Amino acid sequence: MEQCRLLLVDDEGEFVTTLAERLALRGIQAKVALSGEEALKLLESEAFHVVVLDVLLPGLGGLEVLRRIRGSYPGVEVILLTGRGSDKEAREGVALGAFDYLVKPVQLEELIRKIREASACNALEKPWKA
Amino acid sequence: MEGVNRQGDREARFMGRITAGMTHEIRNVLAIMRESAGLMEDMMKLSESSPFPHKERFSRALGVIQQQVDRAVELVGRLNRFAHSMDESRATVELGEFLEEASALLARQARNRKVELRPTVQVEGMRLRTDPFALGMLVCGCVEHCMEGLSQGGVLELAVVEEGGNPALRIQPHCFEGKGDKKGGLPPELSYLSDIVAYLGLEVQHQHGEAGRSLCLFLGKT
Repeated sequence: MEQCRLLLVDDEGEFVTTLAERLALRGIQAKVALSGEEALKLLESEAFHVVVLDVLLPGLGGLEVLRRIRGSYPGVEVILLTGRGSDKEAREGVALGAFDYLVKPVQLEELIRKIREASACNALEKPWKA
Repeated sequence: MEGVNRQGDREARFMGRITAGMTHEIRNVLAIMRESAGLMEDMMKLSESSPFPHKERFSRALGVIQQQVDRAVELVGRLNRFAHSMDESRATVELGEFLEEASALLARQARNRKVELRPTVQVEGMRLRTDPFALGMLVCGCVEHCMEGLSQGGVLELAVVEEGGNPALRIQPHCFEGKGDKKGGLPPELSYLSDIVAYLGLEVQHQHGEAGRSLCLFLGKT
């Protein structure tokens, strides 16, 4: 299988860059976006298999970004990261077509397992762009 | 009635909103701490073949950071759920989980009094449609009252039981033996909670014993 192309979207720069570094040490290369707008811009120019997306983003919120990804990039799987105890938004996200959700702070092994599942489920034959 | 009282309700919701927002921020801080400590562990593993002074001590300290992050994540999760209990004045509450949560929120007070809170479920899966914040306030007040009755410390059981086919919450010391009759209503020390009892439409019984105090909240039909 082609190597998973991953996009991490979170406005906590220190978190997301450290996470990307740790994933790289495990052979998973990830691009980083610090806002929903930046993520959508990156998606326009590059193909990704999986997006790990924080639900609470300033500006364009995580669920809106998810909606747009689902509309324009049906081949991309989205894993939501939520910081809330209440999983209302995460469940809403899954109803909107997110692959799954994880509660922050995530265990790295759990995230990697979820990325692998999403990546395997991601039909590489599905069109990346609508 | 919309809430216990309109002004208190408004204030509680405001506190809940602010607290929930803060817990989200704290989770972000913990996420950064977890990943940074994890990255340091990764780096140490990478340099396994090269000399690293005080490696074992570093490794142990990183383990402590991870453990404490896990502990804080659990505490913040509970605080977040508590804050969200103020969101809605009606919600379905699973009583076993509810007692588990209440005893965790009161863990520090219990430890200070050398009391072990022991939530138990005698009847599984009992649910109640209620105001979760008001019920929480009432149950926590009752637990604190019963803890005060355990002057030497000990075990306080918080149990979901069935009384006359309906669910009830019973709070009493382990191996409690009552002295005298059970009395209806809240004990005088808890009279400040009587408006919540009326609002929730519950019945309460209390009893004193040699070894402490017992309270039972009859919750009505689930």
